[in-house]
Amino acid sequence: MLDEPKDFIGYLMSQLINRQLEDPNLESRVKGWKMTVVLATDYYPVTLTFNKGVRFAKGAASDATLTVEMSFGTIIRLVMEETSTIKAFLKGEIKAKGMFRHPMAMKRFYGLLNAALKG
Amino acid sequence: MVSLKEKFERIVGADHVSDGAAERYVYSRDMTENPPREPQLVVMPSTAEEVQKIVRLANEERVPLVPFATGQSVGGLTIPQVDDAVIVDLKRMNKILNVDEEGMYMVIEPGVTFGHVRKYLDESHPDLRYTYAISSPFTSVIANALLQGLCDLSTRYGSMAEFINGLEAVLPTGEIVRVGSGILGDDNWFGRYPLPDLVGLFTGWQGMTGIVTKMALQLWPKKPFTRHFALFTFGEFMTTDLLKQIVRADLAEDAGALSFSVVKALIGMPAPIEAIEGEPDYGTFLTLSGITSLELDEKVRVLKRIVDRSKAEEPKNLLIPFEAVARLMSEEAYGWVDFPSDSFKQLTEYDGLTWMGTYIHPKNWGEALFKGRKIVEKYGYELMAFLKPMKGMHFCEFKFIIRFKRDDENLKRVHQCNNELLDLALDLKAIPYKTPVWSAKKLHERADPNFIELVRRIRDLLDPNGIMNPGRWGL
Repeated sequence: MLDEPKDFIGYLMSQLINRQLEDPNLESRVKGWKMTVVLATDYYPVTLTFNKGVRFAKGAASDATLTVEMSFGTIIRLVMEETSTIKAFLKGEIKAKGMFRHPMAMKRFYGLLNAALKG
Repeated sequence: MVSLKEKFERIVGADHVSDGAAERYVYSRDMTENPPREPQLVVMPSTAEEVQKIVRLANEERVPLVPFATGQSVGGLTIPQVDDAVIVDLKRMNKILNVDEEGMYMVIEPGVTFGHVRKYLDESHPDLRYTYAISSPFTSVIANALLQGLCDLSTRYGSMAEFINGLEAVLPTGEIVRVGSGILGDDNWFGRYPLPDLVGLFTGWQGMTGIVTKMALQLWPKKPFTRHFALFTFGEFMTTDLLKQIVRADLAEDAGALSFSVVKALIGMPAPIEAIEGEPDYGTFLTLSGITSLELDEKVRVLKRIVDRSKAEEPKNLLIPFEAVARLMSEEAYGWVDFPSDSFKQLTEYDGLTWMGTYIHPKNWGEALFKGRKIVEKYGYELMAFLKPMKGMHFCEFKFIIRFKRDDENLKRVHQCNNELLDLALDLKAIPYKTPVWSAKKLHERADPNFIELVRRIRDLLDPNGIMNPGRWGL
């Protein structure tokens, strides 16, 4: 069971990811992840802590495995499938810190994000 | 000796009169902080003739009457202001009498709700559309029109009172009268002019000048192409300035802006909702429509250009196609813009609900919102403002809604908060609407005394025995 954050983006992400975790295989895999991801939007950052599940907190954790920067507008464009994470990344609309040090974390998070935003 | 109850029973039948404790309790209050008062009886007529007999009897017996449609008012508007009142509940008068396709109007009774109209038009007249109020689907259409309330077509056409083509009413002295073109007979309710415009004798009077038993209201053609957007914005002045630009460009069929806390409630976030730093301050639902897809596309293009231009001042302003909102939140999101009344059930999270709403000059809109926000924050309530550009931007609406737990401390605090909000509104020369009595009295203190005297004289002329909703509007 995910926490229900008090902030808009945290709540939205928790709902979207929760929908994905209704798939028991994915839920089981995600439970095995151990990483901290900061989703730094132009509104404010949200920290997703993966450790036997996912917790959401407003703000940026200082010990993040990955920091993914994107505007809320880019999130909407991803949802509308006007762009993809790859295209947005190549255009600089998504920036990631820590991806070279933690490529597996990057792969996991992008996969989950893609699935969550496309429903 | 025949009792008063028996006399009413002879008019409407024994099944439609009650002096039971449960009924008297239910009709004595609403969800607001306004003090309750029990009526002595509740009567439920089903025809204008029965209403007429009720009014005549009330004159003979000098019994105060309080008209009541479906009881969805949030303003204490159906709470008796004097003891021993009789509630005249018009719920049984719930017929849609006629829809005139060519003249684009409908004739309805007071118990007809927005939900009834929507269903009936969808099934029987799919090329016409009506509207919905920002309240429950059980709300009486006539009550909202008489109280000069707003709806989703107000952005373009103004308050719902402006949609009235004419009406039939039982005067406080018992005569049945018509106003508007319907004076020449049925099937002729096309408008109010060119005649002395006596619709105004009934709108805004909160049931002091008679009981409306029938009303003709305008309908509109349903445009085949529609798109919805959500607009996220920051700051009271920037938000209202942007809405002014959008509405003055005649792009939006509807624009309803909500504090972001309301948006968060809509997506299912649990109460109490906090405004979090960094989040947008407002979410506006915009509806654009066109006769052709080309017309609609062009409106969308201009809308995007206006929003893009606003990003020079606030880069985080964001226009979101509703398809994205639905994908993010679920298809239920379309319910917020299609017939959003029901989505406002979040407002009844607690057993208390109140608001202070006004119509205001566009130049004072942003300031009212900015200062009102500070007042609500000071009292520690959730920030739940609702604003609507009205009548193509000729005027504006703003209200602060408070949902609260009905305990003694909250009742007092809510009243203080509403008092401060009203003082602010009056300082900015806003006119409060659907006013509870305390609010009307404050308006009287500031208004032209000759206006108040004229209102009093008209009321006394129409109701010499003082039986129609005495004490209402602070008179």
